[in-house]
Amino acid sequence: MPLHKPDDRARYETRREGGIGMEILIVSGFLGSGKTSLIVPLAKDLIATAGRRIAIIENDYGRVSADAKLINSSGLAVKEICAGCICCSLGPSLLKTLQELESSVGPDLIIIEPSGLANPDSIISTLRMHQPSVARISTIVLLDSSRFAAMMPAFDIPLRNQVAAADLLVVNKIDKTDARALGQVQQWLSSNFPHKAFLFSSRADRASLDEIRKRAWT
Amino acid sequence: MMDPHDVSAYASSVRINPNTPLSRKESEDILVKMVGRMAAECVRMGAAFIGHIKCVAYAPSGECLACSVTDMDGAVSCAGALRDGMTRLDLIVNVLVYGIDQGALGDHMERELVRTIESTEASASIMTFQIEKEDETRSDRRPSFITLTDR
Repeated sequence: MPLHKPDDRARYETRREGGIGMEILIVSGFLGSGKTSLIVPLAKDLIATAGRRIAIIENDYGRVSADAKLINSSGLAVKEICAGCICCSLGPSLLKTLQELESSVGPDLIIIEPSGLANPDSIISTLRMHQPSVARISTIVLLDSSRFAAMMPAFDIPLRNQVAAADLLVVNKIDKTDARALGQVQQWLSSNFPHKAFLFSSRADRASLDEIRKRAWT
Repeated sequence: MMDPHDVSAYASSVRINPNTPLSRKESEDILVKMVGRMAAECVRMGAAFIGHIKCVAYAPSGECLACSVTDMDGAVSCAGALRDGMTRLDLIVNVLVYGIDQGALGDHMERELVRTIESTEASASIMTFQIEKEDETRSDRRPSFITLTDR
């Protein structure tokens, strides 16, 4: 199943006239939620199973990206956008990088890993305004269940913004979360986002990766 | 007094040339200890929240080892591995922490890097990138380039 359907998620979608343009998958989530750990196997799986051309854009708040080096060392091509956040100050850099990738690589899918501080909706708005050739924009948001109780009091708004933007919400690191803490996450989700479907996941859980891949690309 | 919601960032690129080749385990031990110390000191300094403390070490031949802390308990997670006989370690250090002054964070990180380099009896260079959020009182302190020669 696609992350969102053309009829009910039209606000995120534009179609290049006369053809299908590249797709964009935003893998968002707060700092340390496991974005890079998901992107590497997900991209490899998508290349292996769908035979698609994939490019990755790595955005880091710092001046140099540790994650980009990690992704690159796994054999995947990655473009870095550093020293700020692509949801605000680096929006123009994101558009420039996308246009460069589109003309030089022509990928079927671009995976964007924003900074953990980013609001995915702002990125989506920027893309919708300035990238009409994008066929579909989907958002996976990772929620770190192991640190949820510690994060919520201080980062309630950014977490809500991220979860609200999710086409697919992944409650991650469940292997590091006890039953009580996991129950708190579920309670919070059911109270605040009662219609938001989510998956449980952990780095070691191959089944959840398969499910994410199926939903991320059809 | 720092607002606990204020994020401070640090990033550097480090090249370490150990005097004797490092085994796979030695390389990992060095990174784990360094990242763990960085986290513990952030907590001691009053960090409200550790966004992440990441260090990626990579070899010219392509191997890569990433160590990170994302929790106040300082537990270090690692992924990947380096090979035996490393004669050069290239590191990228990337830190986002809440509740610590930007300048104090940079000083702390550089202290830990120098301590790590000294413990390996290596020569090294540290390129610290300009800290993102300008601190007017410390505006003269970035960027910096430190070289530690054979000791």
